[in-house]
Amino acid sequence: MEEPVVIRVEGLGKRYAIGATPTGGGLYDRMGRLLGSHRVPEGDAHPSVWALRDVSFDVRRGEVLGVLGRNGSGKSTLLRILARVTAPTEGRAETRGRVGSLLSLGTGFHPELSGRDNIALAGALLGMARADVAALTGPIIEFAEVGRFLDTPMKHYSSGMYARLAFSVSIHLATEIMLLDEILSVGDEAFRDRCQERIRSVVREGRTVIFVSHSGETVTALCDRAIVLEEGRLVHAGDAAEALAWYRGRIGKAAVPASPAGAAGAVQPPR
Amino acid sequence: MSLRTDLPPAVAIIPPGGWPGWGLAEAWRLRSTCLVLARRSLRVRYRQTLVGALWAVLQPLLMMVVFTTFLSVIAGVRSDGTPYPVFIYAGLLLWGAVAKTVAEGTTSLIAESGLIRQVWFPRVYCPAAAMIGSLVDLAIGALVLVGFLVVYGIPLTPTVLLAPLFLGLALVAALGIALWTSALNAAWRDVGHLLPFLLQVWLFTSPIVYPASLIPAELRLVYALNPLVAAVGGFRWAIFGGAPPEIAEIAVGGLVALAVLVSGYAFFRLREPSFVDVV
Repeated sequence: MEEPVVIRVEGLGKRYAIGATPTGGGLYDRMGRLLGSHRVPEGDAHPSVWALRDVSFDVRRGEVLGVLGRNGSGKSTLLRILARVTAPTEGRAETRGRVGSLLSLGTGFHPELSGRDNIALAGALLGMARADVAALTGPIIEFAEVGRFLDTPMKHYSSGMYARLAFSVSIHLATEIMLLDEILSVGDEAFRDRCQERIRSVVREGRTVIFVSHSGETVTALCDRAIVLEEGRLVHAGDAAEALAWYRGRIGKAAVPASPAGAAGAVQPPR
Repeated sequence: MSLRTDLPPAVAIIPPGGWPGWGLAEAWRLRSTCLVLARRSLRVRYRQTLVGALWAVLQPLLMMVVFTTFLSVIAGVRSDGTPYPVFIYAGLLLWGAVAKTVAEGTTSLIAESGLIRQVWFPRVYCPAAAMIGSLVDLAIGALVLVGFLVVYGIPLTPTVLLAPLFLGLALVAALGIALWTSALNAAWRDVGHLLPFLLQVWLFTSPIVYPASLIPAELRLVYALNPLVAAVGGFRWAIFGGAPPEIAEIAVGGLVALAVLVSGYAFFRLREPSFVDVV
């Protein structure tokens, strides 16, 4: 039997205004505009950028979907929307299950708090009972190898310790869906291998992973399928190895800056 | 680990617009977030101070000295039979919780911007955590109040059990205002600059440093539109005894406080999707 769809993305788009103050600027700007001063640009005349446009895909339970794309292609925006951190401008997405996200290193970690407190916070953010989180603290620090520093504020952690704890927390806490952003590019090789092993084992438990990367090997090693984003648009989808090969061919060609018209459309006139 | 084997309900992620709903079920599910946030801000509140949590006592105590000197000794303000220092300390204790809830609640979204930009959680827990933090200070300050009662030989009566009720009334109003101001302050920081002034006005339009009996009887119901009138009056009555508060005043104050809370939360919910882009 085919597994049910747990992430459904339909025509998702996110537009950001560039250069504009989100709230329309201060009174001086507004008065300047009213008085017709040319110094102050009209709020609506600010250009906007579609960080993501018309993206649709499904992910079934237990799948690992790779998201390939260069910097600024919309990968992180996609994850931020799925994590509900930022709202889409158009389209919709549906997730089934608790979503754990590691959007950047140490998502939600507070530097003033100890590792232990940050683990408690992460658990609370997922709605887990305090006792359940406490029971997981042992395995989390064991995997992250930060045992001695559990009660040290995280601002004193090395970047490696920080990354290991971040990964360990997100993989141990009870989430049906995991969003991972470039996390495996940090840490030493041994730790990367353990991470990959761990991701495979949680997928066997029935968890679903969206894994963002702009490197290649981890995608083929971990993912079943992959999609390629380019300037906010989904330009390719397929089997992981095949998508990676397509993506590599694409970067090779795209070394010449001009991208074909139509596939891009990053800067849109405001509506 | 408790992974669900059945298919969990779908959470729709859609563009903001229109009424998002109250979101109470989800807020309840993630309620421990509120405690974690409160614990966290308490832990950093008195960091790098010499006397630490003693400030929770020193703040109302120092204000008590100032107001006793200027209002009681110099201006001769009455205090309805209770010794003025204790009378005003009780008022300042309650006021401290209200002022801290509003002041820290207002900036709470900006203070938690790191978290807001990285993970989703019901943002209402930012101002709510400020309120819980203010309660801890109030509990510490209340210990000193007990000391005052002993020193001045004021006996406690069973009515003291009603004190939390009036405290609750004050905090409902304070949280309601903090919901308005925090949502506004996220977009327009003017609110933060205006707030100290508004809090001063609120302090002096509430019977904190003077008794409500100074207000002419025919104006009392208008005066009671300020929920702190019933809250402070009732709080003092519960502790010191004397004339019980008017039911009408409690009803008026309670309704206003509730209206502020509900409207504040509604406004907060409407603004919630925009916070991530403006904090």
